[in-house]
Amino acid sequence: MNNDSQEEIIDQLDQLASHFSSTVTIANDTNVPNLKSYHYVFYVGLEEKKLSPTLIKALNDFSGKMIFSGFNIEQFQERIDLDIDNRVNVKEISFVNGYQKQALVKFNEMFTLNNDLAEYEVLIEGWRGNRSYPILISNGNDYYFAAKSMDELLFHYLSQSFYSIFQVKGKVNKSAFIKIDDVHPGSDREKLTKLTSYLSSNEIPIILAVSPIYENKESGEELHFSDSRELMRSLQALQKNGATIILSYPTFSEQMSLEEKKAIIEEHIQELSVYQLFPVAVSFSSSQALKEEDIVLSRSYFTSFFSASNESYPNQLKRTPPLITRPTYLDGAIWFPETLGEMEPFNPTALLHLKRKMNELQVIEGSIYGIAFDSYLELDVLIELVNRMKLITDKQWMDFNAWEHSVNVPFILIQMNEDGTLTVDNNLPFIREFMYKQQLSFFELALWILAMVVALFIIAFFIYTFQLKLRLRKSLFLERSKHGQ
Amino acid sequence: MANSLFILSLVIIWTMLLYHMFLMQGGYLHYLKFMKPIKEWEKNQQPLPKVSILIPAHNEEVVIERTIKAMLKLKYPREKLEIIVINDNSSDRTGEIIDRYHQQYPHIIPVHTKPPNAGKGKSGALNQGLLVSSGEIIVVYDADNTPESMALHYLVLAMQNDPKAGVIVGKFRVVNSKQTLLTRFINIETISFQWMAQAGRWFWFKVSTIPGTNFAIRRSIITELGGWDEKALAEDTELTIRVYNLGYYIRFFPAAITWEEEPEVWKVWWKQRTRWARGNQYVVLKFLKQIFRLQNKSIMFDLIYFFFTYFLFFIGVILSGVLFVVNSFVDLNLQVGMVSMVLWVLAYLLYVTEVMIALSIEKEEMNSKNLVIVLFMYFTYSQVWIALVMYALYLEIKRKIFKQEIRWYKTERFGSSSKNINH
Repeated sequence: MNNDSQEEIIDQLDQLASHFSSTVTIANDTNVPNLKSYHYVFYVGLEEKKLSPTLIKALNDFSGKMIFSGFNIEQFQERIDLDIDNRVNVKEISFVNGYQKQALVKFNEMFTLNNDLAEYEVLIEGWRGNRSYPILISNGNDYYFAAKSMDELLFHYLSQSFYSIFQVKGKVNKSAFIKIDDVHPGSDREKLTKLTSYLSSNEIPIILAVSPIYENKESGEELHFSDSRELMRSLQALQKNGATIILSYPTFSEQMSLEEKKAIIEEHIQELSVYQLFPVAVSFSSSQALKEEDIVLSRSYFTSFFSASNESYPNQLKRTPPLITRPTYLDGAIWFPETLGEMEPFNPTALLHLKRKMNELQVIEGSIYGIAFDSYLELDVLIELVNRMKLITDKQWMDFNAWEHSVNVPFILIQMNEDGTLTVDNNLPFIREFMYKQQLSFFELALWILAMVVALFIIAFFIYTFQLKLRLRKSLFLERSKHGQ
Repeated sequence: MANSLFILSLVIIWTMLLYHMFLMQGGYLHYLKFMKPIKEWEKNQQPLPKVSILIPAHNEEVVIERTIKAMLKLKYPREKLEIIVINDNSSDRTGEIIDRYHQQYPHIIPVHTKPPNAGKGKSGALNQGLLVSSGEIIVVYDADNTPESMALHYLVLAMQNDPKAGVIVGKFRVVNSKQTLLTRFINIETISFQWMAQAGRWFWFKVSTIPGTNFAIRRSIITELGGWDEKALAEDTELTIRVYNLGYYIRFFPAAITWEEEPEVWKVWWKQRTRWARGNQYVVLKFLKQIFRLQNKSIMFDLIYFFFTYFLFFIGVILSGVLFVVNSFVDLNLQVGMVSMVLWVLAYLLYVTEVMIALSIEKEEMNSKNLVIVLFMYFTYSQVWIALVMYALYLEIKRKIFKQEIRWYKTERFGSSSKNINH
């Protein structure tokens, strides 16, 4: 039995549920909360065991909708009369009623049921050859999800099914965003201007992932926006015209402590603010190595994340949800998933992957098409991407302002209001602001202050010398007068 | 690592420079007001005490006669003055010259030291002189000194009118300043030292150091202290700390002026200054161990200052110099940028302006020749001094390890004719 897969299902269900509800609770089956105020309950049977009578009674008595998954379904026969028979690996899935089958990336193990399902509605079925097996079935009120793990495509199918589960009425449009990644003081201003002008002319919201520092790996030279004032001014102008600035999460070395990471993140946000660039979210790059502490740390500063999924990421970000969500494990932060990953125009596999993803997301109402576009790529690549994205039906460009976002670090609080305006509470002490602008460490600042003090004394000492000379001249004059010279 | 060392060297160097800057400010302010009490004191007309001048002399035939003549010109009642010249184991005509003047001037008292009390250095000679003295106030002059005629008057005036002062210290000038480039360096150095270190420390902290000559001490104090420490290589610094420990302070009163001869050749200068440096290192380490037990807390700062001067400063200078040179060939990734160059320039300008103030206080010393010398002294004389302090430290360490005896080197005299001094 693969517990990891089962536990991933919990995260994935959390992601989906959190898109549809702002109040999601994860509870252990030994500690069931009072279910009176809930409308939906998900039970995930991670292991085969005899459940406590308290749990069974609580769930049987629950008046809302239940969605079961995994083991122990047979213990809830009062609600949904199903028995697990065996297991099977399926290679394709489909919605029912004439929908085309779609192949999974790899075999997906699922439970088979030992029941007559004539009274049940099958929403998703799995295929092995020509034989189908129900993956998601409902008795009209409750649901059972028979998959042991969740392939990404299956995840997408389940996402779509959630619209039925949560009884969402009416058409829900898909959303899309293009995040211009890796903007920093070393970026090509002209190229960036071309990219952003193109987006602007096509009424595509501009989202820029910015870092205040650029280190040239070959020369070791470090650039700040004080070294690239024109670029800084361009970014300021873009922000003023509605572009969204988000922080590129810094890349840390393996050995860095949590305290060091904290200091760097805070400095990055403060430094951007000094240049009047106010990040309202954080962006993780797919090339970064992330640990769980990075996510916890980010959550302490940001209420919104941009990230694609990555196998090397901590569990929380391993699977990209197809919907914008605020899962409980992100502690209320909103995740804007880069479901299309990163634009890699010179990688044929990546392009195929992009195409496949776009097709997969097509089946889900309200899905999000998010992609990271590196700032060093050429305009024609962007044009090609935008043209592809224009083909997505029922799509609108994501209105980032529809949510409230905030960033909170010592001395600075940045809030993006629902009307898109920014409220910035900047109490950064003058000395720190000066240090950021001049790129001074505390020690260098102290030395400059020392230099100023010393310079003042030197001037004073020059004046004393001059005064002494005058005094001497006066006394010599008096002496001469006294001696009649 | 390189960065940390660079920062350390900057901290050491600038701690010293800032302290000197602070002192110079005090020195200038002291200059503006030190003469003010004189009128008041002279009005007080305190009774004049008997004074014993002690002049230790070892093979001083070149200069002793001139010194005695200057003593004879001191404006102080002869009946209240005894000039005790201690001929300490001289092999030249020193004793003969003293005896000759004694025959003519009875208040010039010769003391010819004999074994086992002979040849034990300046401290030993002073102790022998103290034994035969009877003055309430003991004044010390080196054998090559020619005090101005009012020098003694001012030392006693200050002593009588400042009961808290255990010692009054006057100013000394270089009589042979124009002889060689070296004496010009020393001249500028002594003027700067006195107006910066002596006057500055006195102004801010009521602290001064006995310079070894041209000072007056109360007999009761020197007696209580058991005389001069014959083991000390720098008996003046040693005495300074002991006086403070008794609860008195040492007043710097630059109205009392003496002129002395300084080495004219580098070899002699090197020997003399090595002795001073070793002596001060010895004293600093001796009293640093008991720093928190010292009665007068102000002297703690002085000890720390001397510690910085004779131990840390040169380390800081060498460290920063080495890093600077190495960084020219290998990128040490020093994170302190342009500000360190700015500070280097400011350090130089600070030094120049500090010296200019000191020279401007003394008549005729702030001239173009001296200014040029000042500009180059930083790169020459000052650097040699740093090498000297390192050498002195090496000798002191060697002495301690091999338990060597302390030897007192006699400074060679040149007997250059003095300038036309208004005695």
